[in-house]
Amino acid sequence: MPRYFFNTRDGHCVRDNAGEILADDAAARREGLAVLGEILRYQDESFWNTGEFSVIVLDENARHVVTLTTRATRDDPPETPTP
Amino acid sequence: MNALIDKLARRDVLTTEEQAVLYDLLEPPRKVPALADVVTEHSRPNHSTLLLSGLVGRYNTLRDGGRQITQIGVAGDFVDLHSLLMKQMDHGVVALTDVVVAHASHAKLRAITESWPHLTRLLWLDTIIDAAIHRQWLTAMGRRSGVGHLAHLLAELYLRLETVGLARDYAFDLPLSQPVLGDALGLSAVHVNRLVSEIRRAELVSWTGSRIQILDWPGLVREAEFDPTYLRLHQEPV
Repeated sequence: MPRYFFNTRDGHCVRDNAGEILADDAAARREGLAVLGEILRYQDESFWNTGEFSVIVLDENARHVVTLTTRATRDDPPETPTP
Repeated sequence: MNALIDKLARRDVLTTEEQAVLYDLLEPPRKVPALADVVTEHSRPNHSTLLLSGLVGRYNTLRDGGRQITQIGVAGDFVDLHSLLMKQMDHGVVALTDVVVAHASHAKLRAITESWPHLTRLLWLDTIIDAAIHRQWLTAMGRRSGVGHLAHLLAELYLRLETVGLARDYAFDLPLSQPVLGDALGLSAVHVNRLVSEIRRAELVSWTGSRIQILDWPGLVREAEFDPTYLRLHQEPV
């Protein structure tokens, strides 16, 4: 089974040198989402340094599988309901 | 053995007779390799195990193969003193590094409770502190930030290792991989990797291989909201 790497970035990129062995790309995408959720849950103020946080998933050949990003924005949401 | 005496003596005076009783309690040292169980979940030991060197983890396992480490044991810790009364282990204790342990028969421990009340209270206190450590870990796991949780673990381990002469000048060895730290913190290895990077960037600690140097103890304590009361490291008669 292939090894996948989960780098994380909030302005500062932290490389995952250990990786994790998973069945396939779909399992790596699920793990990437779980990692994103877990880290956001325990983040303190540091998220607001950049207002953005990403998990970048690569396979062992450095092929880009997926990037999951959470971003804070003050743009008006589309179709803001009027009271 | 000296580690246990050093630790108990931090809390109250141990007489030479009590120290002799502790020495007489132990069977010859045995080695246990890393990853092997020191005490097996659901077993019914007829002895309690004292850790003489290395690190162990108290743990519970999950159906999917996952594991939660609920306490890290250091030299001088009686890892299952409570098996004297609990009888059946509700959890296991695994060697996280190569370790040396010594067994103390339950028959001899029971004899201590009948003849040496002060020493019995000191050993009782040690199991109470195990419970206090669990309360702190539960609070950290449920409510602290990721960095605060890691900072709390490092502050606790430094003080416990320092008590038994295995750390000084705010430096100690922690030969645990990030997945093992993840099992102790209840976090993924990727997250632990990121927290180690954050705590280094904040210049709270330097961390090279297994060597940890605390650069800013007050800063680490503040980040962790660490209050060492639960380790009961002051002298007061029991």
